[in-house]
Amino acid sequence: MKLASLAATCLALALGAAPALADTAYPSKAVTIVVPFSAGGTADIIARMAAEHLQKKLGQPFVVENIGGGGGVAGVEKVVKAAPDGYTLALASTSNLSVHPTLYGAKFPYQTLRDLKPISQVSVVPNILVINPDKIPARNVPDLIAYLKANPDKVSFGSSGTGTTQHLAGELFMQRTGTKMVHIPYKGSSAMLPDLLSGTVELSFDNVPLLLPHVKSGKLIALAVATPDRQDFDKNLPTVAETVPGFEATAWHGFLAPAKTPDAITDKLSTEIQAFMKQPETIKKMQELGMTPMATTPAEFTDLIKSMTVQWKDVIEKGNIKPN
Amino acid sequence: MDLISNLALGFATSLSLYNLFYCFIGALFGTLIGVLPGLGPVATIAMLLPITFGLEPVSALIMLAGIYYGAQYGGSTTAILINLPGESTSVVTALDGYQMARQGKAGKALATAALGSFFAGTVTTIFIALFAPPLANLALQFGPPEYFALMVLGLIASITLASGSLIKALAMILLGLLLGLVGRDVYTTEARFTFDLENLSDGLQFVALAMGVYGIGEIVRNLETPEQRSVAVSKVGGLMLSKAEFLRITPPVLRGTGLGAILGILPGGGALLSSFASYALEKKLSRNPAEFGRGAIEGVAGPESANNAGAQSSFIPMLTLGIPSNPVMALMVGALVIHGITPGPSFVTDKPDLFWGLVASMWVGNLMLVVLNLPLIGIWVRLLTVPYNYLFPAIIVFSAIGVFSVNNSTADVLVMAGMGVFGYVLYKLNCEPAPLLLGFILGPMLEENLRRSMLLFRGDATQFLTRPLTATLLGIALVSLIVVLLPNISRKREVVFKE
Repeated sequence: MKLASLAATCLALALGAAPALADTAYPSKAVTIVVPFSAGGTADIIARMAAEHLQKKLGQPFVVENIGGGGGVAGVEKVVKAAPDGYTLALASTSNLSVHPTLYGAKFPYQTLRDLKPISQVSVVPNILVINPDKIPARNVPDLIAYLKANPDKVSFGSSGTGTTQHLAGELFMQRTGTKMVHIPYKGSSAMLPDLLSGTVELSFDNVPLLLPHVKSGKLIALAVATPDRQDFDKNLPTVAETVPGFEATAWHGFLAPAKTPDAITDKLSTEIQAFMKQPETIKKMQELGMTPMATTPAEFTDLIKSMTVQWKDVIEKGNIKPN
Repeated sequence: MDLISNLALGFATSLSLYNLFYCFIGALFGTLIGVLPGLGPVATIAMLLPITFGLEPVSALIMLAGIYYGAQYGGSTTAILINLPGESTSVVTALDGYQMARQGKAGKALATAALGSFFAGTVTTIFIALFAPPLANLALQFGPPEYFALMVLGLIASITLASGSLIKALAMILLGLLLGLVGRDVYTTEARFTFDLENLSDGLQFVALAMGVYGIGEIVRNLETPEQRSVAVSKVGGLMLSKAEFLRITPPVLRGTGLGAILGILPGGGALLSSFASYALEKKLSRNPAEFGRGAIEGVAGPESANNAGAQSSFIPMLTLGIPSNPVMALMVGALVIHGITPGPSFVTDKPDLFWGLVASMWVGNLMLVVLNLPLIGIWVRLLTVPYNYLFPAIIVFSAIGVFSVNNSTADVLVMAGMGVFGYVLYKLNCEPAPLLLGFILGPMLEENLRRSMLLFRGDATQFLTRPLTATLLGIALVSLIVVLLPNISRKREVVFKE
């Protein structure tokens, strides 16, 4: 008896995995959301919030699995190699999708739009340009550019690591303004912060939640935000783009599925995720976390990945950042 | 007085029945899960983090802190009983703790660890209450050049970890440094020694390396000579310390607490160094250093106190500057952020109930740990009487689960297996693994800070000597090197003269 029912379950699972049937029945079993970072980070929090919503709406468990390591490569790779049946999803970030495949070259295990199918972008994590006021006299972006031009290679800018949006933001800034600074990478933003506070490194582009308490205390001064538009957390803070037209260097997150997942599934998920991201509670929670909630269609998310891949590829090549 | 009223507020918060309950739950779960081989504080907290999402921020933080201490203590338990250090800090505990266990003194080693930790926890709680805000500035005095000098000092001190040949110890440190290079370079992102395996791009995982070299290697050794183990099992008794032993552990506990409390403040690996530093210090001060590595109780007392004091004072940069000094603290910041609280300079004034509640709960948590663990010692020790035929497969299974759980990576389990073979080879060659592990931990930090300093100095190395703190630390390192080498030189001279 038991064996028979087990066999029946296996059969049902196997059938469920076939794309043709999955359209109508999806989801008929637990869905795994792979977060390619460790638990407790912003990506993890978004994934858990969304999982709770999806579980309620679609009636099957949505389980968050954290696969950190290799800057997220291992986690994304797992989704790339998973069956394209909608039961394995990824919540990935800018660096996973628009930077790493270029940065790490031909041997890299995936190409984002060849191997993955975008579902929805869910967040923008704005980077802000901050300086240590004891070390840099400038108090706005034009003055900063003038100061950097007068003092080439004198200022060090800290980042959370080579190839992160924080690093590439600095490279993009130098390339667009024709200035020169020395890049000092760290293992993560929080390792960089003490040196920024003490003035060992004088400037940084980094996330709002990390820096805002220190901007409020006056230890650091925020000069501008690296998003296309001014942000809600401080409408008085100008954008870098107001001085350097077209400047955009933010981190964002979004959901993706393996490339061959049927449209019916990704569209269904995208509709639910967009609805969730538009709820007032979600928006409030995201803003508390220092993120701007986003709710985009698969096509919009695809365009974002494409345009950012082009932008960062250009920066990486011009800045000669590639390892080999 | 401010301190009294602040602490009163803290205890009022942490002693509420509700928070006391979560403190207890945290310490209990932390101990139970932490005692599984390979499941250190990071993995334990990561697993239990989602539970705290629904709690009040104070309760969540108190519970997480409880898990942290509990898991850390659990890690020492496995280090002592089965030579499985699941955390970098318990590598040192394994050195003498496991030897004590083999001599039938496992109970005493565990009691020493518990009491030393409790004492260190109590003192450091007061230390944090008194000095947390001013001490935060000390953390900012340490830039990359200072960390580089500190790592140099640490590496030299690590030579003393070995009880055998100096040449072999040096070779082990260098091998450890090389193993530490595996993975993507922080500066160029160039993959080094990864053989194009994406799994190695983050480097070798410490837990896999330590558990392989120690735990799995130890199992192979034991299976080779089964009679050795039966000795340990036959005399397990004597759980409590004698008066003489109390007197013996008092000075190491005091020194360890001091070292740990100070080093723990440095976010770039200070707490990590404290247990190594304490071991090196005790060995240097001991009247019979030859006993170290063969079951010296001081070798458990000092490092365990230092490790707990360091673990606790590493809260200082997190709470006062918002800088998490280790992965556990990063997880705690994550937990706070989920509750809409960002730790930072204004944390103490904005959320006094949270800050002082946590400080007070540190002490409550430590007390609970002692109350919880002293009776458990008897049970843990009895674990050793389980026939080895049943015990060792269980250890291997739990180790594999533990290593897997850190990154959900099967490659790490393979690394552990490979390192087990490597550990056995080291044993056969009479090479001690402790200096290797220290080299592995310090190497990457040494390289990172050296290169970062050189970038900041724009290539001018003389600036290492013009910064007072860096120059002082490098000076101490030079003196220590001479002190370490002197007895060897004189011994060699004796040998030469004899001929």
